[in-house]
Amino acid sequence: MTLAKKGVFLTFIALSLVAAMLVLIKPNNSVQDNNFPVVQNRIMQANSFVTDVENVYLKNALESSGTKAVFALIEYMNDTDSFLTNFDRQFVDVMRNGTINGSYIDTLTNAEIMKDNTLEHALSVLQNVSQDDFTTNSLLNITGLSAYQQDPWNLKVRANATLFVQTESASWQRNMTVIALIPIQRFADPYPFVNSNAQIFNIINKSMVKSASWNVTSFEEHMALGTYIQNPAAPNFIMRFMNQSSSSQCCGIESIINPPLLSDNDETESYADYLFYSRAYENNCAQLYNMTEFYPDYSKLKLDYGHILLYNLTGASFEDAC
Amino acid sequence: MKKRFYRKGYFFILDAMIALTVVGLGAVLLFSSYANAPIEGQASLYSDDVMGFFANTKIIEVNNEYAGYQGTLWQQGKIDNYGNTLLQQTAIFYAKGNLATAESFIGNLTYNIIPEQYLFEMWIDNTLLYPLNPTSSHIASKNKTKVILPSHKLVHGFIDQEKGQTFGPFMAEVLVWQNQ
Repeated sequence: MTLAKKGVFLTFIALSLVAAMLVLIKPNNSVQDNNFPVVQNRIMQANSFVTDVENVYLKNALESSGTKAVFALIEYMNDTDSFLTNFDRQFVDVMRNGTINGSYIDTLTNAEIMKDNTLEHALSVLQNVSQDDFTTNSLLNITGLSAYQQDPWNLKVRANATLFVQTESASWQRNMTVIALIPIQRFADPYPFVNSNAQIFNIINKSMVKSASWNVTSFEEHMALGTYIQNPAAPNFIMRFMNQSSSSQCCGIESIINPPLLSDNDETESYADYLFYSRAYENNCAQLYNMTEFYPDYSKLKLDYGHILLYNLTGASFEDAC
Repeated sequence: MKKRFYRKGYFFILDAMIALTVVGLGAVLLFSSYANAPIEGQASLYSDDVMGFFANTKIIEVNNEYAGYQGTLWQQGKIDNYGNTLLQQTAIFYAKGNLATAESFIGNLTYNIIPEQYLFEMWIDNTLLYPLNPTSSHIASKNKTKVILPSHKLVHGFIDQEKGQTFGPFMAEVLVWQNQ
């Protein structure tokens, strides 16, 4: 009886060893299921598509259509010789559909700037690529679009969007806010251009002179080249599209009107552009000064005392303008 | 009587060992059919690696005398934005119709990255850029391969950022498989 129990014991040991071996050499489930890597791969590719749309495509599309919209609006202002009434609305319309006040801006300007460059076009191209190449159905809805500035040298475009992506294996719905930065140092400044009847055409370029380094020579160069400096008392880039001359604390920029470029260059005004065109000193000649030390071409140029200080010209010789 | 019982003990041990051998052999035979699975996974990893390298590395970050910043292509004026990723630059070559430059660009950057026993292709917008003219052995090898897991990426960017001129969006695709 005792010996028979030993046999049972040994059988159990053998069975345990077999069971242990089976557990140890059990293959990985991910390898066992032949379909799994393919499904996993498809989901990963679709997930990568969603990330690419959010991080690269939408941002680039905003920057591209925003840049084109600014070029188109400047062209429009150039052609119509008028300012915009509401930059945010008109910019968004041009950027999104290529229309301004209900008409195609390219037709009005006779220039192909927005053709195939609107945001709507970019969204439909994405939809086609998604369907044809990635075999996914995607829909990108822009729910909000706005333009603003937080620094003098860049325009920001913000879009609130919802992305729907549907594949055979999974679906995504992602709400996103994407901000694109459009540097303004490439655009013509519409403010002096429209106000001067196209006599002054400045491409916005930041002056490289540091505030403490201004002197007569660097000031003359700044004026001749039509470069810009930051000035919180001046209007920003967006305000310049609407002929606004009030101050922008964060983002104001100014240039100095170059007198030889004007047909009538002996105005009783400070020649800082926003003061010049808002006629700020029209009835205040007593506060204007002629810089006698300037190159003869600039002899008609007048500045208010604030700008004499700003450009560090207090050491130069000047006289009352009247 | 005692002797017979001891013999039964040996019998059980022998029986268990035979059973173990049979089960072990069975298991080895059964699981040897999965021997190819890791190879497919490896090729898929390579395609993800190549795509990741191209999509996440900028021109300025790559140390390559031909394709990198101030390299041969830079000096020839064929590359002018070091902030673009390698994938964006490849797509720019494609968008501008410089397919031969695209091929040599990809070839230079992937030289020695992929082991010799693997072959790979790179496509942009459903156009084969590398190799531009595949050999018959390349095509035959690809046709023999049962499963190829491609790596896809959406590629988009600027041809001229100043003017807001873009290219794409295109689908970029990398295929890697074991040479057979």
